Amino acid sequence: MKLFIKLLMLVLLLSSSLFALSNKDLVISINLAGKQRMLSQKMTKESFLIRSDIDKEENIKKLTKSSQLFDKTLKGLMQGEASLQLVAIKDEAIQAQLQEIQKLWIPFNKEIQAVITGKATKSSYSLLEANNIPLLKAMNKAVRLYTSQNKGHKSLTIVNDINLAGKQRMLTQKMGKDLLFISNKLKTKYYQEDFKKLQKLFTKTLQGLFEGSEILKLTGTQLPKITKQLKIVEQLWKEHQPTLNLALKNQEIKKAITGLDDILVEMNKGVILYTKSLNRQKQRLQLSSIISNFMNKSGILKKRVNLSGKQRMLTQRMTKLALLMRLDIDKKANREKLIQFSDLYNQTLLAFKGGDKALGCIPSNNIRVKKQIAVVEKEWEPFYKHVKNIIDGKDKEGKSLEYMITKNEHLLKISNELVKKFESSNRASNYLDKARLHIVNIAGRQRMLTQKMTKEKLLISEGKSEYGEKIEKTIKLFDDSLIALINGDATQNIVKPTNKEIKKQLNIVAEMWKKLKPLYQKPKVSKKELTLIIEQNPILLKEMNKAVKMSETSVEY
Amino acid sequence: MTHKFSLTIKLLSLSLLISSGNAVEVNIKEGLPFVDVDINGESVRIERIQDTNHKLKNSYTKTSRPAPPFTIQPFQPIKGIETITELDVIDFISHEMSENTGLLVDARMPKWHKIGTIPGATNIPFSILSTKGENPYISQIFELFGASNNNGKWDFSDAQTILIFDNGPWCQQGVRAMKNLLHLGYPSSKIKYYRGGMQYWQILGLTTIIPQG
Repeated sequence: MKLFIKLLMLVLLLSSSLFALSNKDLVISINLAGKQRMLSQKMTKESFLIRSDIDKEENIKKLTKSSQLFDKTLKGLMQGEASLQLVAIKDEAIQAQLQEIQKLWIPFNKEIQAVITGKATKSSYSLLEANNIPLLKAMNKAVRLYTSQNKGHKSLTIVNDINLAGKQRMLTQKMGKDLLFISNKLKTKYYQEDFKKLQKLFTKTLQGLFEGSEILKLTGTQLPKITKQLKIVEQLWKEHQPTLNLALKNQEIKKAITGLDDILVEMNKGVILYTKSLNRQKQRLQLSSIISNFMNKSGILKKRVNLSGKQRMLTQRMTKLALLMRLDIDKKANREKLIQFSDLYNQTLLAFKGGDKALGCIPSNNIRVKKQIAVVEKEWEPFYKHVKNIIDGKDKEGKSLEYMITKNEHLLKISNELVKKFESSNRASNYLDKARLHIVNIAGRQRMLTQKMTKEKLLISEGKSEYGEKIEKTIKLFDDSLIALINGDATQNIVKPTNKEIKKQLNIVAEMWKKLKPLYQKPKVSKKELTLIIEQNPILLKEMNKAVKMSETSVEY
Repeated sequence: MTHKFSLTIKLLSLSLLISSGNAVEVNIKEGLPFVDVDINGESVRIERIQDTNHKLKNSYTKTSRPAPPFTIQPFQPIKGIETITELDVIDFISHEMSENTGLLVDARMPKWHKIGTIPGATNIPFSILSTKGENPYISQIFELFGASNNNGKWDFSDAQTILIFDNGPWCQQGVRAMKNLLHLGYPSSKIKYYRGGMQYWQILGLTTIIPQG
């Protein structure tokens, strides 16, 4: 279930990302859209510096640069601009907002160009004064829309900190502009009040950037590099207060504006540090999501190898249970087990084809695997019918049991082929990864061998002496594989386990096997000894199964 | 020589930045008691364990593992890839990583990474960089490293420098990752190898963290 939810989330994430910017592109857009707010104020301020004849030539150059940058960035946000690393966003709401900004920008820019070329009239300045705030507000709305694109990453809490740190840049320019309006006697009282509000907001935001603020939704920073940079801003800001207060009284305007520009430069350095931190977080999150997807897939393959390995065991277990029923040993309980395990074999086979949430199995797309499943299915169909005959008490003449005895090893063989196909569908190219999957296979095969040798023991006790040679081979294979699993065997591509729990579990199996092996090896066993084998066999299987599960879920390096 | 000189200058300037009020007994190097690293917006301090009687008790005290596969790696397992020390790793974290021009990569399987890693490291298990067949993860990872794909050809000019580490000199996970990266075209000049890995990092008492999430 968890896996399906994860896959669903991945699909949703992928589908939403088709319309969204990549994280890196989004951060660039947020930063540059944020910078536009500052530019709207900077251009207005520079226009009024020109009007006031303060460093006129220098400010014409600055205004030219600012207006070109605003224009280029706006076009870049709308259509993409490689030199600014801007990628166009397809989001309809953002595009509509950018169109709105353009509508405001065209007449605004016309007047800016008039200022630059010395053709500005009184109405040019009136338009700039009246429209700079609507332009700023429209740009601010765009920034909010960009920021909301980040919704998917709740952990990236510093997005708002970046937004407001970016906004501080704008405030420095807006304050400068207000001071110029005041000195130009434009709505003096209004701009004096506005300036004071901005002054307070700058101080409050700066404090919030340090310590966090619930009202401003700021998380605050613990990062020494950012803190250090913000302290530089704070220091400049504090030192600049007396000059700003004088400027409010129309004194030291130039000094006040220069100081605000210095604060802008330092604030911008802070924004860069924030952006870098956010980029790191986003990169980490994205890589983590890729790795988690990869590991899930890798787990699915091990699950398939384990489940297909279990099928081998079930072929032998079903035959053993049918034999026990024939021998009238715990007939009722063994019948129940035969129902359970034949259904499990059937369910697993269906899971390989169509997937099964409960078994945690997703169908494979590998053609060789699919073909082998069809081979197993063809053999399983009649085998399952005979199993059902035995379960339903319809096998009076023993024909179904005979069928199972004759066919179980073939079913085992083709089930084993399926395990191999699953194992070879592994894309890993390295020794350790291959070895890990192979261990799940070999440990899984041991489960089957526990059932096979018990079945063979039962057949021998039924007088089928031809199984004497077979059981010797089965015992040897179990013995050799167990030693290899415990000590490692390079020729079989089995790495010695280093995981304490796996080692411990394999030793439990080895201890049990030490006691049972002589009984399996004994040509003729007493009834008491056969009973002991039958009793101990499921326990041996259970312990072996624990080791397989550990190999499936633990990492061995 | 030039590299060592520039490293000394960088670490010296880093140590000057750290106030003398932070004097400790066990320094990273003289005058450098710690380095702070940004992990998901939170600051984590890399320093050394101050208890001079401290001894490791975890699996990194183990001396012998079956070899192969756990054979001792040469000092420079791959020609062209620089092998670096703990001081270089710390310098890398302080500079390349904080400027986003470098990425510290824990190339071990996630289970190892989850029980402890170097602060700031990102887990990219070596097995995801498999070169066998078509690997859909490579393009996603390379793009996040800053490489760009021009009509099927990778351009690594803006790609990050990848500093790879694993469990230590007996571990082959990092070497596998580096071999795969090279095979996939990642330039050797943009890959570095911290051979000491988690074992040497911990033997020196340097900070490790359990990654969140």
